[in-house]
Amino acid sequence: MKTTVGPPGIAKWLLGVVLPEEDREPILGDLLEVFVRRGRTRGVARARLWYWRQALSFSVRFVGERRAERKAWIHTHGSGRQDMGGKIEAWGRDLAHAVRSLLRAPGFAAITVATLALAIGASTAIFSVVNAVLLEPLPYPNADRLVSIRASAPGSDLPDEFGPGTEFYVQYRENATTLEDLGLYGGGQTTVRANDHVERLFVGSASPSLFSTLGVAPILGRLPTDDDEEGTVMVLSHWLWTDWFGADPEVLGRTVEVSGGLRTVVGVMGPGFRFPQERISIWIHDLPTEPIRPGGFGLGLVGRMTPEADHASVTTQLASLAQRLPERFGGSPQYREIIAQHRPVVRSLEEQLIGDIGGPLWILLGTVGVVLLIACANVANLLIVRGESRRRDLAVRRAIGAGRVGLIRSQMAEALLLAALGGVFGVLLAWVGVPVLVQAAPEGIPRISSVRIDGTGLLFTAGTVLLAACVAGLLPAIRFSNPGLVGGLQSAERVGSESNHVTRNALVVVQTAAALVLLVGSGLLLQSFRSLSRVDPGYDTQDIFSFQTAPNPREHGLSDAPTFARFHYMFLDRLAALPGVESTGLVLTLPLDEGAGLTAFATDRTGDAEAAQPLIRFTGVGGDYFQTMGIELVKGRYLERVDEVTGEVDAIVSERAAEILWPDEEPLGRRFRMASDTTGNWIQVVGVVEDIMLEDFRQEGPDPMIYLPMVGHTARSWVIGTPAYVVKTERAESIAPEIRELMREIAPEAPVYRVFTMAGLAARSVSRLSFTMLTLGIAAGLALILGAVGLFGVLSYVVSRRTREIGIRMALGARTSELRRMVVVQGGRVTLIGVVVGVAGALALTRVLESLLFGVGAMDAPTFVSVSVLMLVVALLASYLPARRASAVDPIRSLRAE
Amino acid sequence: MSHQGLGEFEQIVLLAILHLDGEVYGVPIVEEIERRTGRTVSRAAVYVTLRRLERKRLLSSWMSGPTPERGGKPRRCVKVEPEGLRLLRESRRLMNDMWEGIDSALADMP
Repeated sequence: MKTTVGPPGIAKWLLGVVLPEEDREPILGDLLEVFVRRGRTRGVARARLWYWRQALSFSVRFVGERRAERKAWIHTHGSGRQDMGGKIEAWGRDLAHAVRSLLRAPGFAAITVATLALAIGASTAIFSVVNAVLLEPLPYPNADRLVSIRASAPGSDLPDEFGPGTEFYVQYRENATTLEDLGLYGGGQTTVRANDHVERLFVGSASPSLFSTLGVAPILGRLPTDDDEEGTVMVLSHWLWTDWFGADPEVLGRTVEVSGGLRTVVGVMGPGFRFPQERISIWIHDLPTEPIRPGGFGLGLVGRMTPEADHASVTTQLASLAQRLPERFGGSPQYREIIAQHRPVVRSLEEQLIGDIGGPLWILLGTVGVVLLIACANVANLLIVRGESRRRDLAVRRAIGAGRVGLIRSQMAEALLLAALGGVFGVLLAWVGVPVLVQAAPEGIPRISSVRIDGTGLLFTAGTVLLAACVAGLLPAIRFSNPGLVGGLQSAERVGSESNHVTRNALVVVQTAAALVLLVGSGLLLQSFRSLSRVDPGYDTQDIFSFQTAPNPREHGLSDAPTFARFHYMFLDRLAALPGVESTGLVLTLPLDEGAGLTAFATDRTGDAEAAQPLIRFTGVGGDYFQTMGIELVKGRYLERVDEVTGEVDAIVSERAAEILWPDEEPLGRRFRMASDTTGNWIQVVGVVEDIMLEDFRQEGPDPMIYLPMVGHTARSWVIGTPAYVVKTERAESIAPEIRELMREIAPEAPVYRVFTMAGLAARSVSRLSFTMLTLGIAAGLALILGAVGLFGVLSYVVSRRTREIGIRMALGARTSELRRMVVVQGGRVTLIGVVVGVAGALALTRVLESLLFGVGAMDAPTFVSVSVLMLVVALLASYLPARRASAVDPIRSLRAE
Repeated sequence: MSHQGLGEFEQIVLLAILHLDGEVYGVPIVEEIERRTGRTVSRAAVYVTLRRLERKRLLSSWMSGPTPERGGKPRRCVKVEPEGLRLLRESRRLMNDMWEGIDSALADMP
C-alpha cells in the first residue's frame, strides 16, 4: 500500500526550529524513512503519533544539548564576550531566582500580583472597549474618504444641526465634483412580519447608492439597484438572517412584510455591516426621489470624497450647490429663508458615528491609567520594603563582585515576573469583566457588540506589564544596586536609610494625589446624578408602565383614524379593568423614548403669513394620558374621546407652546393648524398643560408641546396606529405578563414590544452618566483602598524602624498618647502634601468631565473640601494602627532586642 | 586534548557502528542497538550522542547522496575514528580489570 499522507506539518516545523542546521536535513530524512516504513506496517495514524513523539523528544534533547554546548564554549572562551544567548541566559537565571524567592514570600507575591492584576485587568478591559469603539477603523474600504453630510441654518429656529432632505441628495449627487458617490438613508422603528415572527425592528431606508458609497457587498444575493421599483426589495442584516431564517441560503426571493408592505429579499449583508446603527435589521429601497417636495429634512447623507478633495473643499462646494436648491425645486418662502441661512456640516463618517461617546471613554481609560499608577506606586513601595530586608544579601552579592547591571537585572526580573503574573490574571479578569462591562454600558454606543479581547488588547496588556514592571521596579532596583550598599554592610546597619524613607513618602504622596483626583471626579459625578434626579421633567416617573403593540390591521378592520381610535379605546378600557390599574392612556411618541415630531404651525393670529410660522413639537394622545403621566392641567379641560370625524378638532397645548403661538394672549379658544395642512381647517385649543422634557433631564429647558386628538378633520388627516400605551399602577414592575395575556385574548398575532417603566426610561436617560459614575466610583474606591494600604505600609515600617527610639522614649517617661500622636502626625503630614498635590491635579483634570456634569461646576468647592477631608480621615485611620503598635512597644524588650 | 572517558551509552553507540557495515547512519544504528539489547532506545538520545562523539572527534561523518524515498534528504554516514577505537579498547580493559575475580561472587548471589 502506498502512503500518501506525510508526517504532521507542525511537528516537522518544530524539528526544523530546534535542530541545529548541520543535523537538520539528515535527521529529517532518517525520521521520514522510518515514518514511511511504520506507516506501511502499522498505519498512518500511529505513524503520525510516533512522529509527534519523536519531534517532542528531539526538541527536549537538542535544546538541552545546545545549551550545554554554549555553556562549555563560554567556559573555555570566557564570559567577556557574552552573546545575545548569554544575555538571555542571564535573564533566565535571574527569573528562575525570582521564582524561587517569590515562592518563599507567598504573601508578598499574592498582594503584589493581586494589586497589579486588578489594575492591569481594568486597563485591558477599558482599552478593549476604547479600541473597538474609537480606534478600530470603520470596516469600509478607504474609510478616511467617507464623510457625513448634515445641514445647519444658523439664525433659524431649526436645531443647531439637522439631517438634509431628498432634494439635497439629488442636487449634490448630480453636481458635486468633490464627491465620487453619495448615499441617502433614513430609518426608524417599524413592524416587521415574516416566518411567524412579528416584531418592531429598526429598519433602514437606503438609496441603492448608499451601498456603493460605503463600498460594501452582500454575502448572499445582490444589492438593490436604481432599476428596482421603490419599496419592493430589501436586504437582510446578518443577525436577522440568522435569527429569523436560520441562515437559510434559500431566503432570497422570499417576501417579508415591512410597515404593512410586502418586500422581496434580494440580498443578505455580512455580520460586520451595521449601518447606520447597531440594531439595524433590514435595509429597504424606499426613498422616493420623485417627485421632490423640498423641506422634508431629517435624512442622512454619506459621501465618498474624491482622493483630491478634503472636508473644506467639499463644504465649500456643497454650500454653493445648496444655495441653488430653491431655483431648482421651488418651496415655501420659509424654506427659501432656511436655505439662505444654510451651511453644510461635513465631518468624517467615523466622527459622526462615534458622536460624543469618545469623551467618557477616554475619561475611563485615563481613570484606569491612574489606578494603574497607584498600583505601581504601591508595588514599588512593597519592593522597597523587600529590598530593605534583603539589603545584606544584595550588599554581599555586590561585595563579591556582582556588577551594578547584574543587581538591577536581578531585581527587575522579580518586578517583571510579578507584573507578568499580574498581567496573566489581569487578562483573565478582563476576559470575565468585558461582557459585564458591555452589558452595563449605556445604549447607543456604536460597535460595542464587537468588543472583545483580541490581539491588539493582548499587545496592550503586554505593554502595560512592561510599563508596570519599569514603574514599580526600576526605582527600588536602582536604589538597591547603589555602590553605597557595601558601606551598609560594614556598618552592620539594621535599618533603612533616610533616602529610602523619602522615596517611600514620595510614593505615598503620589498615591494620595492620584486617589484624590479620582475621588473628586466621582464626587462631582455623584453630585450631578443627584441634581439630575431632582429635575422635574413635568411628568411622573414612578408607577407608570408603558408598552406598544401592533395588531394586524387586516384582521381587525383597522384602516383609518376612527377605526384605530375605537380599537385603542376598547383596549384602554380592558387595560383599566386589570386589578390595581388606576388610569390608562396612550401617546403617539413616549417622552424619553421616542421624542416627538417637529413641524411648523400657523395660527389665527399669524394667519398664513408664512414668515412667522414657529416650529413646535407635537404628538397625538388618547385616553387619560395626562392624568396617567401626571402632566398637570393648567387651565381649560382635557380632550374628550373622539372616534369619528366630527368636523370639530380640539387640542391641548403646553404653556410654552401657548406663549410662542399667542404671546401674552389667552390661548383657550384660539385656533391653529399645521402649516402643511392646506385644507383651511382650524384646530381649537381647549386646554393648557405644563411643559415637559422630551429627550432627557439634561436639556436646558422643557419643550413646548402640542397634543392632538385621535381623529382629525378627515379620517386620514393623521392616524395613530401604534402608539405607546401608558398604565398608572403600583404594580408597574410586575404587570407585563398580565398585559401580554390580555393581548393574546384580543389580538393573538400582535407583538408586545418597547416594554418600559417610566422609571426604567428615566434611568436609561442618565445611563451614560451613571455608567461613567459607577466605573469612576469603583476606580476611586480602589484607589482609596490602595492609597490607605500604601500609607499603612509606610507607617508600619517607620514604626518598626524606630522601635528602639520609641523604647527609649518610653523608658524616659514619654506618654503613650504622645507617641501615638507622633506617628499619626507623620502620616498626616505626608497625606496633606498628597492632598495639596491632588487638589491641584484635580483642578486641572476635572474639566474633562464638564460635558457629563449637571448642576455642579467642575471646580465645586464643597466637593473638593469634603473629598480632601475624607482622604485625611482615611489616612489618619491608616496611621492609627501602626501608632497603636508603637505605643504598645515594651521598652525593655525593644532595648534587649538591639 | 583533555582526557576523556566514554559513557556507557557512548560505548553502546560506538559498538553498534562497528557491528554494521555498508552505509552506516542513524536508522540502522538505532535498529542494531534495539536488536542486540532487546530494548527500545530513545532515537533522539542516539543522535545527540552521535553529535557529541563527532565533536570529540571519536567518529567522523559525511553526507551520502539524497534519495527520493527520503524526501530528497541526504544520509549522514559515520565511521569510528582511531581515537574512538582506542577509547573503546581502554574502556573494555578498565571494565575487565574491575570485573576480574568477582564473577563467582556474583554467580553465588540469588
